[in-house]
Amino acid sequence: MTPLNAPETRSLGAAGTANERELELLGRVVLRDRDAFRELYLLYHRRLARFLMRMSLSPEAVEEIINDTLWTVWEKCSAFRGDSRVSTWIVGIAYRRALKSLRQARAARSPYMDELIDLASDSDFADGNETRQWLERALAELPLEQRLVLELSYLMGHSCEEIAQIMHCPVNTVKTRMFHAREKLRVLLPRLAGTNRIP
Amino acid sequence: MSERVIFMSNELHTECWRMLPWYVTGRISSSDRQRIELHLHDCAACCEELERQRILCEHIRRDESVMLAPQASLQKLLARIDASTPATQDDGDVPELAVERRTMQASRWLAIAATVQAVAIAVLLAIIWQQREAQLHEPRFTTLSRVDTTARDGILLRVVFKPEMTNAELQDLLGSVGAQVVQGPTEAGVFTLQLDDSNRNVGAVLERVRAHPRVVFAEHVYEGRRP
Repeated sequence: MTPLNAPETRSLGAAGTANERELELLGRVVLRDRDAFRELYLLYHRRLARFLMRMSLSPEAVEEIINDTLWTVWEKCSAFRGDSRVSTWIVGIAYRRALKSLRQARAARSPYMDELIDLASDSDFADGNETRQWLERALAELPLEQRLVLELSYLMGHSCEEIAQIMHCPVNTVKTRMFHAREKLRVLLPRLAGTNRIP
Repeated sequence: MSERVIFMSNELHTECWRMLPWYVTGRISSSDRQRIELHLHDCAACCEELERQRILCEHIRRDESVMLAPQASLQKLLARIDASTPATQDDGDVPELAVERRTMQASRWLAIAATVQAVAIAVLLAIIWQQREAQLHEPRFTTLSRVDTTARDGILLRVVFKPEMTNAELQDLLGSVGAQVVQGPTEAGVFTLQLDDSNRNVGAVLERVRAHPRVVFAEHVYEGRRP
């Protein structure tokens, strides 16, 4: 059986190199180097914007969360002791800042899951764009913590241990949340597997 | 023995199953990677799940959400930093050091202010002490030539009478020279007399006053302006 051949698989070595670069930038930010701060900002704006936009937050809310996060980085950078990767620290700040907004946004939504399960059993359901929409709506219906574990793993590329640090919970809790998210999506994913790839 | 092998196999399957997402992203230790790869050779269910997770990961990473332009947001944040950063912090201080330096500066200014205040209090005390000393050592007598600023305008005389001088004798004298008592007697027994407006011959008046047997001393001390 052939193991994973994912195109964006990231090695531990690459992650380590990126962290060294970010550590260097952070060290310069501690000395109030604005060029370094700009570089760090642009780096994390892209990452955090993708992460937060996928959470269906408004662009205004996303910008506010990103700027609050990087503001905290500017203010508290000298307190960073290097106990974790720089990205784990920064994403952790963004996670905590975003959690409240996400919960408020989710509280106002109506459930789609029953509709989605019906849709998944429809034999005529094969169109690629619809599949993409269907997946997005399925993800949107996951409990917030489960969705976040999924996004932090797949979109942000964090390890299980790093996610535990970001979410302030045990590693086993991260694995359990991921397990339940996958179980819920598995009801829908057999049809997806039949299409081989998402267009 | 065979039951234990099955149990271990189930346990390994469960653990591999739970770790598959991070196997997909490569964020896993090399030992876990090796264990999962060995298990995948023998477990069709895990291989199917691996394929599902790979597709899901690919889907999430291929997200086509509209990206925000970062420059405008960056400028907003920099303006926020500028607004909150004191001017003295632009010289490369780290926050803690800047706070410490600001605290030290504040302490230094407080010390200077306290010193200035102490010096000012000392000067005031010295002035008060000097005034008090001056008052203590000031003679309690009035010179006969001293001008009394409270006296009225006009020709004034300082006169000292003998203790035997009676009121009637005084009235006679004042009437004869055209004068009246306007002040006194002081502790030293000095009277101030003012001549009537019609009486302008001071020398003659002084001569008559000094000639009185009950007068010890008489002197013209002040001639005020006529209104």
